[in-house]
Amino acid sequence: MPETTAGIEYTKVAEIKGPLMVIDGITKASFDELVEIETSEGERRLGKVLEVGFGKAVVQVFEGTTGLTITGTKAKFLGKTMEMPVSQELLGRVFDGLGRPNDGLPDPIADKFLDVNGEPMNPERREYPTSFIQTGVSVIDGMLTLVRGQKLPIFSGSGMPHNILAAQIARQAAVVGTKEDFAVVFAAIGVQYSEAQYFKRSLEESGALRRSVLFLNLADDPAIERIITPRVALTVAEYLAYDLGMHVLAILTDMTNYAEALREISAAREEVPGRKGYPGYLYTDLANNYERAGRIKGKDGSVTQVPILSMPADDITHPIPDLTGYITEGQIVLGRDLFRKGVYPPVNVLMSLSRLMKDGVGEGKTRSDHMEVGNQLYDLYSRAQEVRALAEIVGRAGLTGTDLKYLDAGDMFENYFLKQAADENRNLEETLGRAWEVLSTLPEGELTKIKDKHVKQYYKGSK
Amino acid sequence: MSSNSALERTINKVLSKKETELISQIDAAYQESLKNIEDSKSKLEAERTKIIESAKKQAENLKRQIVGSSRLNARNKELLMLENDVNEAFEKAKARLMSSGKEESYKSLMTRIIEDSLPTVGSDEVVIECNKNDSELVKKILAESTKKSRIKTKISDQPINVIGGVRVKSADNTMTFDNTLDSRIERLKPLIRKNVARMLRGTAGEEE
Amino acid sequence: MVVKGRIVWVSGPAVKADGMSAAKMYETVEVGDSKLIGEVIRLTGDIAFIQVYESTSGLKPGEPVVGTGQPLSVLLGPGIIGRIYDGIQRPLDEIAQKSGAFIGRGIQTTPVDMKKKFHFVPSMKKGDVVGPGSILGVVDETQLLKHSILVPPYHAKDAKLVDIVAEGDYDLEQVIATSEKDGVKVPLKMYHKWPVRKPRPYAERYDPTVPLVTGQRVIDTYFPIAKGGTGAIPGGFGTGKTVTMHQIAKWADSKVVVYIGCGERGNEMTEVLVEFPHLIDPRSGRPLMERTVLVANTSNMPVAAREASIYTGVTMAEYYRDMGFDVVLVADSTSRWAEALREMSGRLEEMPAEEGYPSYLASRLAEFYERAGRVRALGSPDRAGSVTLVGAVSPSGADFTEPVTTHTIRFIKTFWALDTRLAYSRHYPSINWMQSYSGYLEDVSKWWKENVSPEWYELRSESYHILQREDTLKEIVRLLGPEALPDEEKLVLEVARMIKIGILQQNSFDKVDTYCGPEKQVKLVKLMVKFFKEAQKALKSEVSLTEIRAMPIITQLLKAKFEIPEEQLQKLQDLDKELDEQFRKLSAGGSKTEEVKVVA
Repeated sequence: MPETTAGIEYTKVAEIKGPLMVIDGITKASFDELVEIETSEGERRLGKVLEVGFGKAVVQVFEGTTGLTITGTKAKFLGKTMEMPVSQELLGRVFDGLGRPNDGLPDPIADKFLDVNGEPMNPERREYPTSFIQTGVSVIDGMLTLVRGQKLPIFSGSGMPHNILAAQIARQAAVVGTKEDFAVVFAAIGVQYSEAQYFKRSLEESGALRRSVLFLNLADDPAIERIITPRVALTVAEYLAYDLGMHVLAILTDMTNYAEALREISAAREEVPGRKGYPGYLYTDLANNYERAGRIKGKDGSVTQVPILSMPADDITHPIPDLTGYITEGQIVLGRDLFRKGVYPPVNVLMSLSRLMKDGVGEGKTRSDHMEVGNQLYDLYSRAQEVRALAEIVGRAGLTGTDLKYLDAGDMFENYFLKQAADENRNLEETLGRAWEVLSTLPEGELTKIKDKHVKQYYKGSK
Repeated sequence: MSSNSALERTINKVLSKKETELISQIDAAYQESLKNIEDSKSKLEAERTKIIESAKKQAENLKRQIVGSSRLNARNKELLMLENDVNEAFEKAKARLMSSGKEESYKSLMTRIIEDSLPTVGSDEVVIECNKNDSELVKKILAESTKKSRIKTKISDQPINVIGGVRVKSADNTMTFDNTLDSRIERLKPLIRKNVARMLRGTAGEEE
Repeated sequence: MVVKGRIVWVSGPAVKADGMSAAKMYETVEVGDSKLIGEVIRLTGDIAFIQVYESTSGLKPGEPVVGTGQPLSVLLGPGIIGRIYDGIQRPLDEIAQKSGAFIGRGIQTTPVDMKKKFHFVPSMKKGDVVGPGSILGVVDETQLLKHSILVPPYHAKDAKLVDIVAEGDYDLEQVIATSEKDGVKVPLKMYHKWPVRKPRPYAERYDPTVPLVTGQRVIDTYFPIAKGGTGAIPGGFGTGKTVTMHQIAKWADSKVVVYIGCGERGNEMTEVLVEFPHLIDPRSGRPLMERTVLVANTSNMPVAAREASIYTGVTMAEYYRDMGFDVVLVADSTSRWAEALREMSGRLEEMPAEEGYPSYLASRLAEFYERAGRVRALGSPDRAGSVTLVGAVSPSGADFTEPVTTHTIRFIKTFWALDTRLAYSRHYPSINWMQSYSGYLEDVSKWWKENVSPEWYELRSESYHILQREDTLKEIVRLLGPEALPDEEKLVLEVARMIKIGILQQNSFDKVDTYCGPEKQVKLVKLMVKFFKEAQKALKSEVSLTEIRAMPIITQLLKAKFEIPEEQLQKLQDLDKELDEQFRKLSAGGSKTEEVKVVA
């Protein structure tokens, strides 16, 4: 809540380096406090306290320090941490990366003001996510099931269609058996205008803009602002979910830009770096964002997170995808090979995983054979890939009959199961039907991951 | 004759055979074309359904889009109108505050403001700024309360353009504490806006 | 004297305060007006460096710091089991009652319900000699656990019991006994406190010789860990570290399980909380929660408390060890704990070693793993207990040469290497059988021979040998294709595949497959080895490999792990007969066209 006590304004700037400003003569300032900076030209910027001691405070300036001067710059300490005004009215609105209106409309009239850093959710009060979300995308529903309250990122690379996939998920996502629509919170973090625009248009065309909140920090917006963008977005997502009881899908793109902003600050602070120059606390910092997904016991809403990040040089061992993978509940990895082959969505299923699938599928939730079918498909495609590699060396002649069957099944998997149109919405029955058609091209004895009773019920091939 | 007739019979036979063959061929061709027509008809049918389906889908999308954006636009207009009303209410409130300078309650407010502000800056020597009308009042308050504070005070001879309250600066001008009524209103604005909006909206409630 | 200082500097979880010359190292302090809990981690002149266990947002220089005079300690007594604590033993359910679904700050709690009454049955009487670790009596902590009330380790030796209460219901604050030595009377209650950074003492250390049976085939059969031993599970993300940790916590045959979620996902802790009360321990028939303690410091909770959580957990584990129980502690993940060390070290501007980790990383890891062991506890009656430590390691980029992994390897004896490639091909648990090892193999083989099967060691070796041969053959296959190999070697590949699918792979989410008892493990391995031998014989008697590959018994063997539950192990006997029968028909010839009946 805004306090009635005013902040003190200081003018003794000791140092400006990178995104940081060191202010001297500080008598009253607290850690994490919000700072309003006024340049000598009267322009206002926001910052926050990173470090504070007697007489000195280190302030990180969100909109960058370009144009700031040692003399003539004023810094007002506002006596509160960064807050986001929230209310139902936020739906349908567009904000900048710091949560200020960007659509020509006035500041939202707040129901309350929430600290954008949020607080850690008590694991004891979490409700374990188990409700299946049908995305209408076969490879996700069949093998990488998304559940309400999950955080499932898309690992992509430059030029790949992660935005198209994320937009398709946002348009089609539905909890089977309910009429509830998802509210969408979209945070663009340092992405190009066209990408953000694509997403906005997609929401508009499906009539979903009305239940969406957009935060846009574009490629030419201040980089340090990106530290805040996911935080304001997730603060709103939590409010919509836990105060208003909505099911929220939060899409954050691109988290790589976020991590780079973090690295910039760390370098300016001359901290000891971890891998590839990223700060040692990158894991904790990412976790503070990603862990803001979930469900709470006794509350209706949920926050499902789909962060998108581009892997530098398609390298999954790069610290950003690596640490993300350790925090999120699985990952959807897009593959360059499939993309080149023209397969959409180009999901590299073997590298992808949904950790919560086991809890969202099966008897009473989807279908009793769902998990086994998913496992068998993985097995099939993994074998097919092995055989493909082998066939390149020894040719088809060097393969056994069973190997050849796997080779063909692998092709069918890609073209009949994986591949679909960006506006094609397949229901689960169709997805599993297609899966069984692919599996039925293998001899029955190969289905070692499926219980006999399910083989009997669904297998259509010859023995 | 007989040989002729035999020949003729053979020819006839051949001809009739050819004829039936031809007929059956023609018939087959006819049947085939019929089937083709039938096929293309069903293909056309499927094509047609597909087109209709997709058109329906598009129409559905369009409808959703139109309904969605028109509702959104209406809501946004409402927000703008509300904002105007809120601002108007603020201006009126400020104007009222301007004229309230002489009230006795203002003196006790000013006393509190000054007493809070002096230690906050944390400097031993401070300069106090206020508007033209208040400088006498500030002097009076300071005179009454100097004993309690060891902070040296000076009133700036440059009046500032505010509704009321004071701005306290350290003597070296490195610290400023803005405790004017203007800045207080500014800080409280988000809270007040909510209340004003609620009053303006009356019981109409929120969208949907 | 109470230390009173004031904050002079704040940077994230690190706070400096002056006026602290009387403070002690590792003393717990209250920081700021909101009384955040912190711990002194360095003293320089009158400046103390403090790591704060809660978010320091809003903390100001000038606010007070007040010492408690006590090091960071845990409360040990009945009421711990079944609870979920944060990194400094605050019950999360109580925090939730006070601050709702999100964790607030400065919340005061007690680790256990001090008013709850337990039925105490004394096992000593007035006049008995008592000393550190003596058992005064027992209470039923849960239906599974008889909790011994221990005389604290810091109690005087050879004291005399001058008073002890009769059997009855008492709460934790009531004095249940009084000891006396040299005229000094000491009141004893059902709990005591112990500083977490100090290992609890014991009388004598034993060699670990009994395996910790986990019901996981690749662990128990191929890379076993002993009770009181140490093990590490390193693996990149998605390789199933946490699932493996959960499996050990669920099915290990220990009396108590301490599960530390250190810097990991919130939902994983919730999963344990939701699942364990409903899972039934196969040995006792009681819910698993009745033997489990959780310590949760998830990745988004304050980083300093993450550092403490490991010590909080292991101290509780030692406490139950001292009662004579086998305790398993799983810590997921020690890498996050190491990162917390790194973060604090960085804030204190210490000189970093590799990848920014402090130079004392190795010694801290060694100290932690050294707290494992099978011991004779202090005091009477004589009893042995053990703490088995299993730590997950999350190497960045799945690179096993990074500092936390390399240092950990030096201090553990069982190494379960998780393999990203196996995980990509959905081979779970993705424990790489060529890279992993166990230093307890010889030690525990006696137990297997005496309790399960005399052939255990041979069967393990023979089946492992097949996997080793496959590993070398794979190189050739990669170059020339499988058809280039002679039939006998193709058979090795085939059987290795069967062992991989039928033995090594285990589905944790399948009701039957999730736990595989020792007997079933041995029998499955035996069937695979037998199949290999029979097939070798068949090949020699002119049966073609194609015919062998087409044998229906193969699929049956591969599915036996989940189609045959623990209580129907006799079906494995039927499978054995079926195997004989099918090979008999093969070598008799003409079996190719015959439909072979499938045994359910």
